[in-house]
Amino acid sequence: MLSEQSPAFLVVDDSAIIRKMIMTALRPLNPVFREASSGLEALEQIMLRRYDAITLDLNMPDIHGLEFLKFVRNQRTFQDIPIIVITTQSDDQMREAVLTAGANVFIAKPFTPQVVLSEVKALLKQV
Amino acid sequence: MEPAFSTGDFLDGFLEEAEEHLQAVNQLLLRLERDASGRASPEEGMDPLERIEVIKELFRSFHTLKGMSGMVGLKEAVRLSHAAETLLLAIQQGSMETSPALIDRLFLSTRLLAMVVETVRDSSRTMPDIEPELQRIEAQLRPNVEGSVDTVEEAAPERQSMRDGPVEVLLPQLAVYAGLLKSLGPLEQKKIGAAVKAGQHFNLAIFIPSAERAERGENVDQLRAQIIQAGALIKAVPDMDEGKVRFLFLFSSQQPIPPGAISADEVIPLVAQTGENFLADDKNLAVQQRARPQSGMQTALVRVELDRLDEMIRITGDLMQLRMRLMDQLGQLEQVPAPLRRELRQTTDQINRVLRDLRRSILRARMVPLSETFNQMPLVVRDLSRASQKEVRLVVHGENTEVDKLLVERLREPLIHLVRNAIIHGIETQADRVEAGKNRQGMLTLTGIPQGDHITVEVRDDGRGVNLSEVKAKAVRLGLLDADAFVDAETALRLISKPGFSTRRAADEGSGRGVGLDVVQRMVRSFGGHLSLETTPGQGSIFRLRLPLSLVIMEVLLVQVGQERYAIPRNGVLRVLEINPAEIVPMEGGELVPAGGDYYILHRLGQLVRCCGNHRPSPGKLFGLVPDIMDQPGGERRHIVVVDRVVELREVVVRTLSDPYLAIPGVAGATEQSDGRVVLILDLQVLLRAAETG
Repeated sequence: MLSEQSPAFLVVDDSAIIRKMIMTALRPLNPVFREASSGLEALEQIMLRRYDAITLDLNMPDIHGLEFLKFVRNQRTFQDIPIIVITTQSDDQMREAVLTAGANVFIAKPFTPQVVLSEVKALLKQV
Repeated sequence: MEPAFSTGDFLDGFLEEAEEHLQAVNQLLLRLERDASGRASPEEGMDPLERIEVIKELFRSFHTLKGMSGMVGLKEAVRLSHAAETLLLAIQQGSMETSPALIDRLFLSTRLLAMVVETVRDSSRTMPDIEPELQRIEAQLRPNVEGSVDTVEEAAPERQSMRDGPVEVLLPQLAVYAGLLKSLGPLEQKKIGAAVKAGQHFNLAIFIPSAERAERGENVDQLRAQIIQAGALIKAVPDMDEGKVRFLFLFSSQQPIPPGAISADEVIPLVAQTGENFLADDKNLAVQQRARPQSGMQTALVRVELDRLDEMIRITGDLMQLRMRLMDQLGQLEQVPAPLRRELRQTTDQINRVLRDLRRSILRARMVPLSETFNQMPLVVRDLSRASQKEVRLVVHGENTEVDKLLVERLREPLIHLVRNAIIHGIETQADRVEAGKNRQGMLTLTGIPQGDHITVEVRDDGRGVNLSEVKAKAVRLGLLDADAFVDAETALRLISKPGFSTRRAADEGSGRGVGLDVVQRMVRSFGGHLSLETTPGQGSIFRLRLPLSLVIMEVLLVQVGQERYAIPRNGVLRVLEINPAEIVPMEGGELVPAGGDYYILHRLGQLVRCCGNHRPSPGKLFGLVPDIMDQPGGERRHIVVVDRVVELREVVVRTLSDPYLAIPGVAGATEQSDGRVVLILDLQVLLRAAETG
């Protein structure tokens, strides 16, 4: 379904315009994108296909990003998916909680395209 | 903070989404306000749970606005939405009450936020000063930091019961679903309690996502929509079962859920155990059973930019042209056997019908409910009734009527003006109303009434009505009327629509701000509509806007030949050249003119449309339009159409002349100028072809 060269990214954010910006930032990697606007939708997506990385917003309808993160990291199947949290809730407490729950990277909004791109690139190399 | 992305690429998306959130915020604030002021009718009143949900929703909207604004470098918007968040957080945590003063603060901050966002759309606007507002928000928060006694105490009982003990198993069957049970916090517990008291049914829906399901278009979002349609969602959680993810939805519903009603793998009806203790100490919950609002209706939606639909309409137009040409060519065929001729005719008839359907369905795709504009009116009414110290109740009917997207947008300004007019001029002061034996509260009714291919929007008030003799006296004084003229509502409307005509002495706030009835008239006319007035002294007025349901916008060149003006679609013209009349070379059967190193066959527009026959071209410069002719034999673009003057390039609303298929050759439609004069829209291609064939 997805070609070898193109990484598959899941972009999770309840704001369509932010999703568009994230996808613009990652476009140099020539990826295949899927979008989700809520936590449950994101879970459904990762059930259906494999992703090479997920960008995750925190404040969303249904379930908070942190709940999503905890759930995903508890399942063996999903333990290794790189997850980049991109959020406006960027206080130290939240950063700590998110990283403890198993996020690979924490990026505060507003972000620059360069930061998102370089973080995701670095993660893909590790995997 | 430096804009991280080139803002331009995301501008439209940002503005659209920001507007959605700002509108949502205003709606939510209005609900809060109605609730806090105790003016809510039974179906509008909120129980504490709903209030919490509303606050949560507000918080989420401001939060999203903050994030988005940060991304486009709009730091004023970031700070404002952050401040609003702080206020909402204080409410959520119970350190503040939803007082009218606080709601006002949020309204004002939201308005300022909207102004800040506007500067992105329109760079000529100056950035408003947000510091005073930030300070006022700060001030509102301060007493609570120091611990204001009475507000905290008031909020205390509710917060107390929110913190009540561990989750009581009201739904014993849930014991099997430990994950779901564990996730039920005090808020969900309350929701369950309220639903039990309202005699609702409980259900557990289980959904296992799969590739097959996704292919069928069944997904978790769709299920959630179905559940919200059928009842109220209490909690949704993911769960793991035998190595597979599944979703559990706990929800209540008025009626039992029939099998197959929602696309879950399983719907288990739950039996609630009504613990009497639980119900007894829960005095805060208002028990009201009410029907769910229909607005929650979910349909599958795809967003399409209006431009793309316009493009489709344009393509349909091209197809229609091609069809006409095909008919022409078929007519010229000789020696075609009769049966084949018949079949060809049938096929072209079918094409005709299909094209008509296509056009209709594209126009249909542009339709949105009137509520997009109507929903903004409560805020306008609220502000104006406050400013004028009148009590006004707004009633809205027919907001689901669908009209063209563009119309909905362009309707906003005239509608706001009419509403403003009704409140400032129509509805009397409370004292006057009481004296007249009327209800203290004025009534303003907005109604959308579909009528075939038109819609009528009514703005009705129960105020003093338009005083015809006062209007007449003023008109006579201004020399607009004879003293013995008869003035009916129609005449009165014409008079009060004149710029600068007002029977009010002083310029009232609101109505004195720019947009007059004359502007309403001009806007309504520009999209082929009509404004009328019905008024009864002492009982009120009805302003009626009659408008076409669909609008087609086209960019045209407005040109002049003699005294006549014509509109020519912009995309039918390759370029416009200046022509020196002295260079025109007469030749047999026509004229030639050199331009840009080429000779063009010259056509005078006046002759093409067979008008202005005795018109002598103006002695000065002429203008030549080079039409875009795709089907010219040999691909030559050697024709030029000459006019006296190119007036301007502008967007106009196209009115098709009766049936679009019953076209007058060369006339693509008509449009009205702001002064009410009708201008024909010409199709140069067709005109030139007609000229060639004689």
